Amino acid sequence: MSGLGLNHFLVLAALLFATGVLCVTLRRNAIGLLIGVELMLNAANVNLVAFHRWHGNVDGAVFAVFVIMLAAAEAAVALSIVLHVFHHAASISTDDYTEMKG
Amino acid sequence: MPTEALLAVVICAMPLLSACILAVTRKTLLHKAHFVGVPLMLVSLACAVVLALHPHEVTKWDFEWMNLGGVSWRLGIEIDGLTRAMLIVVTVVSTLVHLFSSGYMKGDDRYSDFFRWLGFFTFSMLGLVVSDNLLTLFVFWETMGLSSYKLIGHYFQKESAYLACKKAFMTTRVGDAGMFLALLALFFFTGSLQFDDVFAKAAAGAIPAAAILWISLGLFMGAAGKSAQFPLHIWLPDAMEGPTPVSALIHAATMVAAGVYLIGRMMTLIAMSPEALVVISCVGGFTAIFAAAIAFTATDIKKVLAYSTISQLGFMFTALGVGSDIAWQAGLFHLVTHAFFKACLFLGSGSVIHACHHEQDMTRMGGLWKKIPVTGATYGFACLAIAGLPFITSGFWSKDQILMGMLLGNGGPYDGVYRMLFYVLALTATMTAFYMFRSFWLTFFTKPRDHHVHDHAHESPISMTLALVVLAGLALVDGVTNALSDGQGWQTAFLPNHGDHALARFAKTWGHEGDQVHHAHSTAVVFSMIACFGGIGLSAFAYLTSAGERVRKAARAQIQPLYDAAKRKFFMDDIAEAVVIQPTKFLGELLYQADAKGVDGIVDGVGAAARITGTVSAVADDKVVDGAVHAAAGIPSGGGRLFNRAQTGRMRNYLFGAVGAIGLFAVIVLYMRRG
Repeated sequence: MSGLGLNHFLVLAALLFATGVLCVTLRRNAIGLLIGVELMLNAANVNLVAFHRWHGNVDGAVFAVFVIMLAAAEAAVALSIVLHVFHHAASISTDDYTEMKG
Repeated sequence: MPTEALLAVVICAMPLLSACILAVTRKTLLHKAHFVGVPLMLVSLACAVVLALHPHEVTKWDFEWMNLGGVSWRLGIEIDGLTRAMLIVVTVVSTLVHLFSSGYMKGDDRYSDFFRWLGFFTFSMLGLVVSDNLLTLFVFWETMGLSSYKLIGHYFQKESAYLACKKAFMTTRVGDAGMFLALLALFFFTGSLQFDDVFAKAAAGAIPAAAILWISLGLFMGAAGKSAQFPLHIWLPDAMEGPTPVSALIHAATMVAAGVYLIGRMMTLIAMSPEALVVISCVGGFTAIFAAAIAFTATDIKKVLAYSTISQLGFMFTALGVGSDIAWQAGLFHLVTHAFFKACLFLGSGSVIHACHHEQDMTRMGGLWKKIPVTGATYGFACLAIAGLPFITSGFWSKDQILMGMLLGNGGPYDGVYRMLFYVLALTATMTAFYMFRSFWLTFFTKPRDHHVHDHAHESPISMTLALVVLAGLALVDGVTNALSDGQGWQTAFLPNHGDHALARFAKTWGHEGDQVHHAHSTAVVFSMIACFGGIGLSAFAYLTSAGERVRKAARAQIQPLYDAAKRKFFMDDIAEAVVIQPTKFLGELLYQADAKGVDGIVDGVGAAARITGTVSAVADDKVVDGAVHAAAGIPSGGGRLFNRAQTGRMRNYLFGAVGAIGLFAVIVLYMRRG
């Protein structure tokens, strides 16, 4: 356990974040896209909690709780949007929904 | 963890376990749900008895739940005499209600759901009484509100039932708002919600006197909502829409007891404010006589009991509002005795309703004594108990002590008010005896008024009558033990050990000379005997003799307007409709109209003006400007076609663009910082 330092957490968070970014940019499935967003948010959470332990004060943990709350709200809103899109386009593939096309 | 705390956890866990088991076995155990509920409740009851027989010391156990911003939140269990007494009451009544329900609810479509919520409700109430802090108390307070909502709305197919459960939930919520503010204020001043901390800090002067008054009134607001005190009592009569065993459990013995318990528990704090005390007493006294007056005119057997419950709860609050230890003990003692005989009355009415095939209207009953003797006898005995038949019924002793407490007052500035309330309560006690026996005569004696109901009446199964006999027996045993020990029955073994530190700062009850207490006691006994025999005698005269019937009719004709007012519950529902609901609707309508007429008018006006100027400018536009524009537009449209390609409409392309841009910015920022 003694070998586990701040950097390990930061690297983990960076990897998580990168996974999230790839997920968001490359996936066509709207749900997959949301999962990518969650991954990024949680990567940030890992950072926050890691720094909370590193600094030894409560701020990071508090922010992490806020982020979790925000993520929950975001998921609720986003899923209902996806549901509407599904009703509208009968598909959740983002490529089938191209009304923004110029 | 001390043994007592462990026992308390087991007591609370059993009903929760029952609720959980029934939640996952809804289909398989549908009509056998009582095989889960009843045994688990018996375990809980046994543990409560063991706990009560344990040496009566205050046991505490807690743990740190979390540490936030330097504030340590501790949750735990505190078991003192009051908790022990409440645990006995709740487990006994709940066990018997479980037993009774297995007969009463037989064949119900949602039989298992009923037992599940019964278990969860019992768990909430038990959790509430073992809590050592206001935070968990409040949580259980709310979960109890939820389970009562589900139980009152058991027959949610009926419109009246779902309206009733909604009304119960919303009305108690009004009180809870006050309670919540009180908790916030307490935390603001003392930095803790644990009873001991709060009391210690309050005693040390951490809370200003004015704040104590408002905190006490806030707590009382919550208690008044839960315990149906004026003007928040309107939900309780409607809540009779729930199945009758639920009425016995929730609206007689336990949930409405929560409010009384809260005030009893917080008495150390509340007693610091004589003004808060006198408000509590006055509201209680008014509720007592007000509800008793309505009970005179009710013809639904459950409604009579509902109003009598409100009235009896008023008795308890009046006593608690004195703030002396004699009255404190009397109020909580009445809570205990009332729980048993009122549960007996409610279950008895359930048995009557069951016997009459779900007929609840007393004007269609009559002459049922021979048909359902066990129900009749237990109902009659419980009526005697609530009327306060001297010496052998528990109700006599508790009511007598309340009256005595009122006479003695608390030695503060408001003793005159308490003495006046003494007469109010004595009158209410007479009315109680009258209307309870009115329901007894109308149901079991007098000529059968509906032969269909009468001919088909049948005694209930053993599971139901057993519960009745046990509850009536408890009322009798409590009365007799008190008679043998000169008013020092088992309740004195439970209550005083909290009483001495719940003593008001200004109260000097123990300072009362023996003579004074003796004198007050004699007066109270005389008054309660007159009340009991007077009320029973009058109602027997009025309902059993033909002369009485003439007198009754003539008297009613004399006070017809008053009678009609009482029949309509003194217009409380109409007042609530007029004062709260209609203004809310009116405000909504007003805002809507303001929006439709005012805001929309402005918008429409602006729109119309814009259209006129638009028409004018369009002409100028078409001729002059367009020519120039067409020429100029050639440039961007060419450019637009060029960039049009980028607008694929595909989300991931946009996202890729956004992420890429952020990445680019990050690179630039990092580069500049290095530079």
